[in-house]
Amino acid sequence: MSRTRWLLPFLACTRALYGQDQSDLPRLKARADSLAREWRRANAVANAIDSLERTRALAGRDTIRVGALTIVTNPSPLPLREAAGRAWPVIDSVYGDDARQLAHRPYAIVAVDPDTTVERPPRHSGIEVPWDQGVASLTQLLLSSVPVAPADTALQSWLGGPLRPLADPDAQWARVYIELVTAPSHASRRCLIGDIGGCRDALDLAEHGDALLRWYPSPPERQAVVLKSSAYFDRGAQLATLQTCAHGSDSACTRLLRSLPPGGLPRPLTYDARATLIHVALQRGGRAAYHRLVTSAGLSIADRLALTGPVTVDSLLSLWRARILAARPAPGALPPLGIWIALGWAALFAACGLWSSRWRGN
Amino acid sequence: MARELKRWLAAALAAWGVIVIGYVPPRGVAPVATARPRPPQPTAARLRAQALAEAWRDADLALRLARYRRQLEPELARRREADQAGPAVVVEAPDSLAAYAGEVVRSALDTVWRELGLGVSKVGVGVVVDLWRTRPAGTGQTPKVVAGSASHLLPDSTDRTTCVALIPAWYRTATLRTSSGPGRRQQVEDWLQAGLGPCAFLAAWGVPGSDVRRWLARRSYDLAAFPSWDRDWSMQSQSQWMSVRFATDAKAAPTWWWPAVYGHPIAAIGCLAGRAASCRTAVLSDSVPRVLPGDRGWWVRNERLVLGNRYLGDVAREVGHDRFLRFWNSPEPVDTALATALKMPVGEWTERWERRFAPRLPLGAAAPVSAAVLGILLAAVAVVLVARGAGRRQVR
Amino acid sequence: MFRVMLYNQWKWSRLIVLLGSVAGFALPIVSVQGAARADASPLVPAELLRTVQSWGVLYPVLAATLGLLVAIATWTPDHRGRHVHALLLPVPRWRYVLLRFGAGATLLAAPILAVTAGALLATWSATIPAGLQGYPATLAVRFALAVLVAFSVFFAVAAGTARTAGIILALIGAVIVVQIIAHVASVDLDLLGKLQIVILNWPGPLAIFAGRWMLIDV
Repeated sequence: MSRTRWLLPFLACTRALYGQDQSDLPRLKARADSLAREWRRANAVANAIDSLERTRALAGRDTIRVGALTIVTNPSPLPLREAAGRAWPVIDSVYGDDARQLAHRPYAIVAVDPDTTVERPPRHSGIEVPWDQGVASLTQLLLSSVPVAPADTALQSWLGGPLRPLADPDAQWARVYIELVTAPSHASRRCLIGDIGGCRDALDLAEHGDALLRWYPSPPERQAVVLKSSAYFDRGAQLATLQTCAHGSDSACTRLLRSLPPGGLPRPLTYDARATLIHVALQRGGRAAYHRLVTSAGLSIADRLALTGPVTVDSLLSLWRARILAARPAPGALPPLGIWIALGWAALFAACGLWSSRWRGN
Repeated sequence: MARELKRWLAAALAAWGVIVIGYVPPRGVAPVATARPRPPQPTAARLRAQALAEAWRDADLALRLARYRRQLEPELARRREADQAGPAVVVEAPDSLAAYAGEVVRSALDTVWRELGLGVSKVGVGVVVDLWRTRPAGTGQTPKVVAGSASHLLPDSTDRTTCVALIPAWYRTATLRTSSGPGRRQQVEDWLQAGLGPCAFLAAWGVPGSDVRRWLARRSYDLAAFPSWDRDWSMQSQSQWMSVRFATDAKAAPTWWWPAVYGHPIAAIGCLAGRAASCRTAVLSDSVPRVLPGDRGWWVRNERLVLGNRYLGDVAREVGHDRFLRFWNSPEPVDTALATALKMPVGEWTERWERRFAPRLPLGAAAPVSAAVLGILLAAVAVVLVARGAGRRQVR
Repeated sequence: MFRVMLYNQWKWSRLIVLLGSVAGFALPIVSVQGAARADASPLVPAELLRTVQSWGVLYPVLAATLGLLVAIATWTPDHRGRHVHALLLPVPRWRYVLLRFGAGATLLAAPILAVTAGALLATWSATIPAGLQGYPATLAVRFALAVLVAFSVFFAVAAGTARTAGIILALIGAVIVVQIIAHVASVDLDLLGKLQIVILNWPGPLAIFAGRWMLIDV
């Protein structure tokens, strides 16, 4: 292994300072303290101005209300009311009673001229949207940026992002089915065939035991995970270990996976799988479900889901699994227009052949 | 015939005329409209707060380095008196790691010191390895300190004999913990060698002459950022990581990464393209005009010559200790001193040096001579083949 | 003799040459639309370089297309007449081939001149940001070489019989089929990628087409 492979970006540049006399220490300290004081003042002023900017952005604008959903925006041809009409039932079904907070937490939308030759004014708050957007894309925008108070960090890090309504539920459920079938994890296969303990493992709800062995108990699975993340391991001293792993050494694969930082081991299933599980719990738990979920921070995720349900987490997982199986995507069939498209192309080429000058000779 | 030709010529000229009227002079083109919202821009007050935070970080760094120098002084004095080679070391780390990390770091630094051929030096070197991710500070009382690149406190008129290297290394903690694993020891030595930076040069050759010192100071010692004189060319050329050219995966051949190429100063790009004058400018000039004014990332922003961090280390290796020492202490202007040491013009040597790491950067539309010759040969072969084939043709 | 042959080939391929010349003239000019000017919204250098690079892809495409079409037009009448006319002429056959080639190459000078004129006009009229410069001459030379290579290759292919063309097509098809089968069978074989490297990278025969065709660069 060549040693120079390890000369990573760290070594490119340096900050070289000239020495100060030791008697300068008080002067240096005074300078740092003075700058810190200045920074605290400037930071406070910046915070105040940011706050004023937010208030100003919402003042003197149109306000659109659908249910508790509130949008403050400038006059424009954007079909915001129609989009809000579509988004509100979805938002309400997810957040339940907590969706009422949207009355006090409005969307701030700045509609702008889509003609980019027109200079846009500087903007310090709000979401900027060109005013030629359609209802469908606006609805997606509203669903993906619901201004509810963010959930606690533990929930977000388990989920892999903020909790949002499912923007395209049918496709997301179908994707989770495909994940469950194809993930290189024994846990997800156990879940697929009906072992709820497998679902618990695959969705990272089990609290005890070694995650690596729970998720990827067999050597081929560990190898598959490493090769899937080969871009990460494909450097420096790890390159040799990666090659050994690729040639079938389980100890090399395990060593690589164990070298990942805490929380860095790829989980068998993605955000969609965990988000759909939460949505099952929220639907099952009624209008106060979301409130129970976000106010139970401190408990384990499994307990929080059980509280949200409110059913045992195994029942919840059974329900989730049943819905996933029901969302199995239709096998690749001929699309409705497929026959006509194929016939059309055949006719076109046949006509080209008949048109040839060979058949038009005297 | 002529009349017919004229008609076609007129048609072509008319089409050209239409194009000229339509498109000359060129018109500005507005960027394509996107549905993606722009991120909000910071207010002037926020920008000022950020600038003050940056100024505080600089001041805080200067203070820390000065404190470390005071802390290291007794140990450096002891070493000087005992004629003991090697740097004085401080490891800042959580208690659980400090003892073990200190042992690994000291042992690795001794190896690096030996491999660089640094014995007892006139300029004492102190190394601080900081393994804390963030330093404890009162909440909201000071801006957040982010661990960046290595910093160096160089000797000056008040202390001509001490150089301090501060190496932030929290992201190397995992490497340190597993330093007995395969290849790990080498990694630790490599990043410590990189962290020594200009202090290694000062330890090897002392404080440079005034011209060289001013030249390096104006460039933040970027050409002396890595002491590379202990390495073979063969190792450097085959495995050198470059900001502008790399393979996207282990099997692929390296290719140019154009956003990074254009992010560099114009002289650095010209040097990559094999222009000796540009190479000379990239090495000797303080001014770094760029094609793209925007920030293309931390690395590109700081690299004035591609792989310039190892430039003086490689010069030292090439010309040998004594000639490099003469250059280092030379009272002559830098270009003269460097050319004398290299025994050839600076631009020419630098252009050849750059070629050791990367092929010539193709700029503009010029075809490589090899490709042009090959194309003409191919054309000739094709015509000869057809002519020979025609000779055998028969009517049946 | 050459004049007569040139006139004949001119008649067969004049539309191709005309359209090629117009496209060749327009291409450099269109590629600098957006170059910074005081009276227009300026493109920053990054966008100018990106635009010039994007349009640059079309130079080798145009060169290859012109070479192909003119080569086909050169030989089509001979193929139609089953080469009787050529065989009856009182000139050695190698000389006949050279005359055909020379006439085709002469006709292709028009689009090459058009690209040269367009490139010169484009770099003259655009305001090029500091640090960048125009490369009209090198672009024109490279275009000329690419046209010559494309014309020669297609000239050789078009001179052959339908059987020759069939063999070439079958070879290309076979490579594609093998690649598809290897992919389906999960065999680690990148035939097309390797072929591309062999042909387009040094020392490949078509290396002149590969790489960037930058009218404006550092």
